This record gives sequence, C-alpha cells and structure tokens, in this order.
Amino acid sequence: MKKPASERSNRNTSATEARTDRAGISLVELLVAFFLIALVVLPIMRALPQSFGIAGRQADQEIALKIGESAVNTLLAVPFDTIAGSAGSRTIPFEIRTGTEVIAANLALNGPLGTGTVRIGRTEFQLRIALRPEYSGPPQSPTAMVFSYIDPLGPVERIATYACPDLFMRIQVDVEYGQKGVPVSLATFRADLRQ
Amino acid sequence: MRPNLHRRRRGFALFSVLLASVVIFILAATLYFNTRSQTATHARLTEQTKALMAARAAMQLAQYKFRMLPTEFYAFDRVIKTGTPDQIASFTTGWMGDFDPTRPNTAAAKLSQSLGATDGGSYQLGIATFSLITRTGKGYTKDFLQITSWGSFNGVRRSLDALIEVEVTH
Repeated sequence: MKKPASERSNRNTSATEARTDRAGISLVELLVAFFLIALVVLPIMRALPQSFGIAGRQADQEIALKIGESAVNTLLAVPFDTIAGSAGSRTIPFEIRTGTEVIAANLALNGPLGTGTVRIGRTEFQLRIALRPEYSGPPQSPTAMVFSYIDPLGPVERIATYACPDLFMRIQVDVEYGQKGVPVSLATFRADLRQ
Repeated sequence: MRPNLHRRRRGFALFSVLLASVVIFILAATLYFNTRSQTATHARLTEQTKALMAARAAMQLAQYKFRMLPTEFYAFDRVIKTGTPDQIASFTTGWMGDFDPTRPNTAAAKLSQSLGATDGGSYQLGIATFSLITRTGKGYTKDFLQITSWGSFNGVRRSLDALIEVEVTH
C-alpha cells in the first residue's frame, strides 16, 4: 500500500531537520569535549615527564645505594692489609649481580683513595673510596680508642682501661650517578682483628 | 518527541566527557601521590642502609674488644652466670659501658660522632647483647659469641646479629 506523497515529503523534511540538529549538537559536544579533556590532559602532560624523571632518578639512586653497600661489604671482607697496609696501587675484584646479569668491575685503590666504575643500563655509577685510619695510639693521644673493663682480680668496683693499639679504619664510599642525582654516601668502620 | 531525544543524547555525551575527565584526573592524582610515596620510601631505604653501616661498625667494635680482652670477657661471663645481682650489674656496666653511645668519650660515642661528622646526619651505634653460648655435643664442646649490634641514622634503627665461633678452654 503506497503512502500519499504529502506524507513522504513531510518525513523527508523531518529527517533532514533531525540530521541538521544532530550535526550541530555533535559539533558543540565535540568542542566541549575537547575543551574539557584539554583542561585535564595539558597539566598532566606537563607533569608526566617530571614524574618519570623523578622515578628514573629514584631508581638510579636505589641502584647507587646497593652498589655502595656492596662496595663497603667488599672492603670489609678483603684482608686488612689490602685496605690499610700498602701505599701502592691495589685492585679488588668487585661484582654486581642484577636480576639478569653479573657485572664484573674493579675497585682500584691507590694509597688511601680509590675509584671504581659500574655501568648498568645507560647509567654510569662512579665510586669514590676514602680509607682513613681514624683511631689508634696511646691513651693520651686524641685518636686513642680506650676500652674499659672490671679487673677480675681486683674489687668489683675497680674499672681498668685499655687503649687500643690497632687501627680502626674509617671506610667511606661515595657513589655518583647521572647529572642531577644526589651522590650516595656510606661510611662504616673496620677494626684490625689480625692479632 | 525529537527535541527530548536530542536533550537526552547531549546530556549523555557531556556526562561521558566529564566521566572521562574525572577518570584521567584520578589517574594523574594517583601517579602524583605514587611518586611522592616512592620518594618517601626511597629516603627511608637510604636511612636504613646508613643505620646498617653503623651497626656494622658497632659489630667491629665488639669483636675488637673481645679479641683484646678475652680473659676479662670470660670473667664477665662467669659472673653473669654465677654472680649476685649487684656483681652482675657492675660487671655489665664495666663491659657494656664502652658500647653505650650516650655516655661521653666511650668507643661507641666516638664512632657515632665520627660517622656523623662528614655525613651531617645523626648517627648512633651500640651493642644490645654480648653473650657466650656453649653447645655440648658428643665428645665436643663448641662456644659461640652471640652479639647483637645496632645502628641508627636520623632515628631509623637497624640491628645486626652475629654468631661467632670462639675457642674456650673448658
């Protein structure tokens, strides 16, 4: 059954109007959407590189901390002569294990100072070592390390003292990395336990 | 009928955009606070490592004192096991006093001061326990020094335990 021409014409007109209305509203919606999203995204785009930069630096700093700790542990484990005795240059093998690889490096000591380099990924970590005999000597000297104890042969209250004749070495390891990172600095002491 | 339809669709679109914006904003806020939280976690890790280094220095101090004064330590240990409370208190003060960083000019105070001098932070180190443990098996007796050292950096404290085999004539 065919519909009258006038009805078809009305329908066409209405469809055209609807399309026109929809197109106009879509454009406004699109503009509002762009505006709102730009309001939110632009500050984020400015903040993201900063955030990634901070995260990257923190990762490097954490690696530097672990490298420094590992270097201190190595210097606590080598024979005492290696860090205290000789004035010439010495090389101490130094190994870093990451999750995927083993990185072999060296700690080069020259007298009381030393250096080392470890490269992990794109970051190069520079180690600086300072060894300093800090405490040793007779009781009156300013560097004396004095221990006290109760004389087992005397009365209980009698406290005796004993000045340490051996070295207490201060071991300091600084790890530098990148350009903006704050160097990691770790220090501890090692006693001469050879006797 | 149509104008109603238009209004509904337009409202839905704006709501979607607002929803998307809120989601993006929440993501950004999460990222920002996560970064701040990571920074705090990292600072704590640095402090803990420095405290551990101080605890290592205290351990060296304890081992050195034992190496230098073994006879005195065994006397101290004998009193701890058999002495009167007064004797135990006196001997404990006599032996452990060197490991108290709060007393002036003790070995522990000197090392704490030295560590803080170049670092700028506040270090403290000491020994919490120093005892002799004897284990008797079939035909042998083994002795161990049980030492618990501690170190702190800016109030963050770490402890280190060591069991060191020593030879004692029984």
